[in-house]
Parts: sequence; structure tokens; C-alpha cells
Amino acid sequence: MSARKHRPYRRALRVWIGLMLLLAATTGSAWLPLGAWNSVVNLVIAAAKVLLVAVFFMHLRDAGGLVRLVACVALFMLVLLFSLAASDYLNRHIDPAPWQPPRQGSSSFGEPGQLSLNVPQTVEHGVEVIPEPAALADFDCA
Amino acid sequence: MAASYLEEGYSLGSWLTTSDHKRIALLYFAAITAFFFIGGAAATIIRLELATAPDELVSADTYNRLFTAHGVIMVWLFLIPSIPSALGNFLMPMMIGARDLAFPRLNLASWYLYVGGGLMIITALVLGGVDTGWTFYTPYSTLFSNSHVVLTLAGVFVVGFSSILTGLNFIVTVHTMRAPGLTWFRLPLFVWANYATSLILVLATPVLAMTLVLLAIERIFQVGIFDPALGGDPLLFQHLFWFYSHPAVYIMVLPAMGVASEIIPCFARRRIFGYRFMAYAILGIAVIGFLVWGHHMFVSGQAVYASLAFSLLSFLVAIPSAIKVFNWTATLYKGSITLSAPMLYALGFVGLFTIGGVTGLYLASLALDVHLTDTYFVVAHFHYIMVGGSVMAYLGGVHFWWPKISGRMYPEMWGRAAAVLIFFGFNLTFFPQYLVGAQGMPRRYHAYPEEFELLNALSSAGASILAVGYLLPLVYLAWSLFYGARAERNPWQASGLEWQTASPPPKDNFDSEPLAVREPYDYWLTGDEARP
Amino acid sequence: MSAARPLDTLAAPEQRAQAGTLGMWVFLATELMFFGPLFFGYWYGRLQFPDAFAAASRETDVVLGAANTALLLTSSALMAAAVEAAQLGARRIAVRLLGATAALGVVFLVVKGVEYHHEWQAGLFPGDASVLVTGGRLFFLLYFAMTGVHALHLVIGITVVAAFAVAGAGAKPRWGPGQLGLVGLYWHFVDALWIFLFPLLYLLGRSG
Repeated sequence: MSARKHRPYRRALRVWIGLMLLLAATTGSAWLPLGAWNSVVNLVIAAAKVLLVAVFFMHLRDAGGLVRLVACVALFMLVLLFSLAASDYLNRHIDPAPWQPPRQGSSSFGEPGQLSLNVPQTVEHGVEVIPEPAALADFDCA
Repeated sequence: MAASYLEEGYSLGSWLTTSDHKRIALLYFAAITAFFFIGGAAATIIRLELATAPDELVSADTYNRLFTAHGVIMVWLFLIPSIPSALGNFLMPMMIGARDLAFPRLNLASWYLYVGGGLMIITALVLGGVDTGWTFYTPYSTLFSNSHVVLTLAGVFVVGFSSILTGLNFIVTVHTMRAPGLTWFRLPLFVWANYATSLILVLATPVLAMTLVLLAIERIFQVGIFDPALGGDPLLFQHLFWFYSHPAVYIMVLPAMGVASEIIPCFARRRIFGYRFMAYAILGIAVIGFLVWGHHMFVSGQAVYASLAFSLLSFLVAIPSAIKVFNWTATLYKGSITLSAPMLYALGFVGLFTIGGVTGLYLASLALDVHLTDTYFVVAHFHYIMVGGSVMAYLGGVHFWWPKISGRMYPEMWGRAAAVLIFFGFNLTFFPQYLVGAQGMPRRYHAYPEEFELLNALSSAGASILAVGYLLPLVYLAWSLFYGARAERNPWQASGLEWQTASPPPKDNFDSEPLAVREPYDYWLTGDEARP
Repeated sequence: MSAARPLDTLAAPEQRAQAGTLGMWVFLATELMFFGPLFFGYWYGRLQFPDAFAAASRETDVVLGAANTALLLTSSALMAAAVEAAQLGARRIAVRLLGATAALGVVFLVVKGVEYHHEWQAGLFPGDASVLVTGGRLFFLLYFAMTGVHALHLVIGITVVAAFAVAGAGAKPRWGPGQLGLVGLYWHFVDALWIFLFPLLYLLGRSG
């Protein structure tokens, strides 16, 4: 194995301190009103923590290229899954079918009610009320 | 001369507790054969029902359970394990000059998981089966089906882990146990193919596992993840299911391509044309195969831009497949061709895979797919690839390596006869299905309009021929175990390390004889340089 | 190419170690893919029900969640130290560190159990008695599924670590530092998963 620090467990201690600080940062920043950036900050900090664990605790620092590649490949596959599925989920507002109810509000990313038919719009006594589908005659089926 | 692996213990226990990859391969071979004929029995009843237009044989509900059983058993219990676990387990260590796989006991665990999961699926079948189709689409499978869905899901889940562990074993083996001097580009293409298949096995199957868990949770607890009335999305299931199930079809076909790449050079006495391109094409198919799953969802309500992306990517995946077909053909050019049984299967594979692949392009075209989806055109397409392709290649591989595995020669004339019968029966069964599908006959229907009856009757007639063709090897291969001529070390004069050891091999694969690591497919060598 | 004796390519300890490490990393890749659909469902829910998800996330106990995160991060550090101790030959220290690692894992599970109990009593479990609808229901389905599958993996990890601690405490060495390293990889993976689960499940919508 590669050279260790002269005093054992030093590295583990330093990484632990780093992880604790990052935990404090992510928890603390959650209460700051940053809007969508809260999630970004949290994910970046989480990625940093995982990198510390992977590189130092899981010895990726000393590992060969093959092991590093294997360490990354599953994440890459999930990115592929999310990306191509995004081409569906982010574009459902385009060319809706004639029987879909008319859209409320703009069709931007993250708007509720953009992604599936019959999304309950109101709640009465804790029970969803699904809106009646509009009659076909109400639409201009061009 | 060391005893062969078959002679190292004759008790059942010595087989069930073995860690010898060759014995485990035979354990798989036995189970796979049994499941094949069970799935085939379901197909027989299906074709009997479809021979006539009205529903005379079985009810609609029974029919649904039959095609579901056929799909589940054939996909997970036969096709996915067939070449990797029966042939791959036997041959991979030998082809790289190793004594066994990297994790032999994990290999045995894989077999037990496979058999355990298979028995769970058969139990569900015996209890009445499942009627959702092998694709378990929601909301039918979660809200409405009154069949043994959860038990079947559990069985598939368990079989999935068998696949994952086999893939893991193969990957580590190929990376760490190649003989000295055996660089990646000296490996047989069968090894490349099984390696790429293993990549798919380990990355795609876990997604299926969790998806089936979510399906079971939805069915049991009705929480709403796939139910639009509760805010869920049925396409969530379909995205996740097909993210596995499309690469799964490459799990089924890549090893078959590897088998073809071993047989064709041998019986054309020519090295494979374009070895590096063949290896890159195998990897290309594996990678691009992960990017095309949405072509199963063109008419599901998926966004049109997603459909466009998936359609384009599906066209792209045809390119490496086509390169392979061109290269097999070029390998034959100016070759000295022997139409042995394995060669007949391999050539049949190339032709039928090409037809199946081309019809896949029709289905990848968005506008055509709107007409063809859920018709018999799709059924014909995937049967051309999976049966005309994978099963033919599997049988070709079984015949090619039979002397090595069993130490016996099968009767060659019967081998050729069965191959021809299967080819003829297969085409008679499935080509009419393209025609009725294009004319609009839907799939998964137990009765259909009169106008489709003639072609369906032809298809069923073909199926009866196909059935005979499949039963023949069962008979003569078993016969050969007792009465077949003893095989020599290298009866086909083939290249590859596995042919340098005895037929059947000793337990540790190779005696203390030194092994020569050569260029792959060195069929251009003649005279003293050639293998004896 | 001259003659080769290829038979014992896994006889050398370095090659066995290499095979073991590669095998464990491939296994961890499959585990990450196994969790993938849960993250996918979460992402779908975030897109579809951003307000409901944020509101539901506020119902989780962030104090216990953060405490649990700290526990698991510490256990990871202890595990890394245990592997280092084993490599240095300090077997007794390694065994003690392994015991501490397993103990922290158990405390994590206890805290998780307390959280589950509170959430059950508050009617947050997405069954028939749930007070939640739609988005919130989906959030808590994913919460219980993700933390539940994580907890299952943690149980396996604790069992293996405890077994190694017990086996290492005996007179004869039953495992080497290489094998312990593989256990460590698994433990760190379980920790890394939680590192992502914590902000996704506990910290959404806190500033709202």
C-alpha cells in the first residue's frame, strides 16, 4: 500500500472532522431561505461528503483506474436513466391529447399538475376530488 | 492422464455441493432444459388455440395465464441464463486458461438462487399462474389482477440475483485471471460477448429487482406510486421496467453472437473478419442498448420528444449489430465451408437475426410503430431474434462444444437434420406472424377475426415441426452420452485454449502440459504450425 | 508466444486481493443500481408535488436524523481506523474499533426505530390509516422504503462487522486486513447512501 502518515489514524480523524463540518453546513444551510438553491447546496455538500468517504475511507486514492471506473459507473448509469426519462417527464406539456383538461398556469419545470392526467386539484375532507374530464366537444380537435 | 471432471465423484451430493464451474454449468444445463420444455408446453397450447379463429380450446383468462407463463419462463428461466450460465460457465475459465472462475462457491450459490427462484415461479404457475403478461404492466397488475403476482415477482427477484452474481463472477474473472500473455485483444469473441453481457447483468438487473419490489408494495399496500388516481404514474413503472428489460434482450443476444463468432471461423477455416471491430461492436451494443428503452413506450403517453430521442437511439443500436453481420458474412468469403450441425445453426442464426433486426428498425420508426405496436408483427420480430437468433446459437454452441463437455460425438446426420428441421419449422411458424401483424392482428388475444386464420394455421403447423426439431436433440444428445463415439481432444480442429485439453477436461481444466497462447482464430496456419 | 503455466492465476495473494476488491466494488455498483428506482421515484415526486414533498419533509425529525447522520459518519471513521489498525498489525485495537463501529450501527437502528414509532403514531405511514394524501403519501412511501432498505443493509453490515470482531478476538487470526478492507468498503457504502438520503428526506423545505 502507499505510504501512510507516520502517526496512524491521523487521516481518519481529519476526514471525520471534515465530514462533521460538512454535516453542520448542510443542516444549518437548510434553514437559510435560498429557494431552489437549498437543494443544490445540499446535494453539493452531500457529494463532497461522499467523495471524502470514497477517496479516503474506501481507498480510491490508492486504487487503480479499473476500480475507480467501477466506482463511477453505476452513478453514470443512473444519470443516463434520469436524463432520458427527463426527456419524457419534462416535455409532457407539449402536444397534450385532446381529452386532457386545459392547463392552469405556465408549463414550466416543477409546476405541479404538469405530468400526469387526472391529478387531483382539490382536497375535500382529506379526500381528493378528481376533476371531471372535459367533454370532447369542448376542445378544438384540429 | 488425470480423471475427467465427470469422474470426480458420482454421487448426487458431489454434484450438488460442487464448486467446479464445469459441473455447475451442467447443473444449469439440466435446469434450463427442463424450464425450456415447460415454457414450450405453454407455447404448444397457445399455438393449438390460435390454429383456429374462434376460441375453442381455452378461455381468455387461461390464455392470458399461458402467454404470461410462456414469457416469464422463456425470458428469465431459459434465455437469460442459457448461454452465459450453461456454456459460459463451462467455457469462460478454459478460454482464458484458468482453473475456475474467480469465486467458485458464489457460482454454486448462483445456481441455487436460479433453481429456487424458478421453483417459486413454477409454484405460482401450478397455483393458477399470472395473467398480467411477462411485462406486469400497471394498473392491471397492481389493482385488478386476481392471480399470483407477488409470488411470481418474488421468484423473478430471486432469479435476478442469480444473474447478478454470475455477471459479477465473470467480470472479475476476465479482469484478473487471464493467462499470462493473453491480452484483451487475444481473447475469443465468446469471452468478449459474455463479458459485455455481464456488464449488462450487473448494471440492469438490480433496477428490475427494485422495480418488482415497488410493484409488490403497490399491489399489497396500494400506496399510489404507479396509480394516477393517487398521484402516481404508470409510466414510472414502464420506464423502470424497460430500463432493465431492453438491455435484457441484449443479455439474450450478445452471448449468441459470441457463439456464432466461434463457430463460423472454425467451419469456414478462416479467421474472423475484423476482430477488433467485432469486439468494439459488442461493447457498442451493450452501451447503446441501455439508451433505447423508451421504444417500448412510443404509444404509452410518453412525451413525443422522448419518443423522438429513443427512436433515433434505436436506429443507432442497429449499426454495431449490422457491423457484426457484415463481418460474419465476410468471414465466409473464400472460406472452406463445412456445413456441420453447428455451422448450420450459426448460419441460421446470422440470417434469422438479420431479419429480426431489420424488422426492429420498422418498429423503431415512430409512425410505423403506431400501427405495428401490440400486433403480431412485434411478436414475430422478437421471436426471430430470440428464437431464430439466440436459441439457434445456443443449440449451435451445445453441438459445437458437446465433444468437449461430454467426451462424446453426437450423430452428425441427426444433428444436421434437426438443424434443418428447426430452421424450416421456425420460419413457417413466425414468418406468417409478420404478415398477420402488419394486417392488424393484435397480440395476446386468444381469438381473432376469420381473415387471419389461414396464416395462423400455417404458423401453428410450423410450430409442430419446430417442436419435433427441438425434441430431436434431446433424444440424440442423450443417446450419444451412452453410445456416441468417443471424442478426441480437438475434433473440429478449432482454435481456442479449451480445445488444447482433453475431451472431457480434467477437474482443473488443464494438465501440466504447457499451453500456447496464440492469436485468436489462427485458421490461416497450415502444416506444422497448425494445431495437431 | 512461448509456453505459459496459467493455472494458478489466483494463487498469488495480491491477485486474490485484487479480485476481492474488484468483486466488492462491482457488488457495490449493483447495490447503487438497486437503489436507483427509489431515487427515480423521489425525483418524480419532487417534480410532480414540490409543495407536498416539502411539507412532508418538514414532518421528519431533523434532530434525530442529523444525530443519526453524525453517528454513521463516526462509525465510518471508526471502521476506516479499524482497517488501518489491522494493516498495521494492531489486531486488538482493530477488534475494539470494529465493536465500536457495530455498536454505533445498533444505536442508529434504535434511533431510527424511535423515529418510525413517532411517524406511525402521527399517521404518516402510507397505509390505510394514513392522514396523508397524494404527494405527502408518496413522500412517506419513499421515506419508509429508502430508509427501510438502507436499514436492512445496515443490519447486514452490523452482523458482518460484529462477526469479524468476534472472530478477530480469538487466539488464531481468522481474517486478514484484506478481507476486513472488503467489509469496510461495504460499510462505507451504506454510510455514503445515508449521506444522500439525509438531505433528500430531512432537509427539504426547511426554509419554507
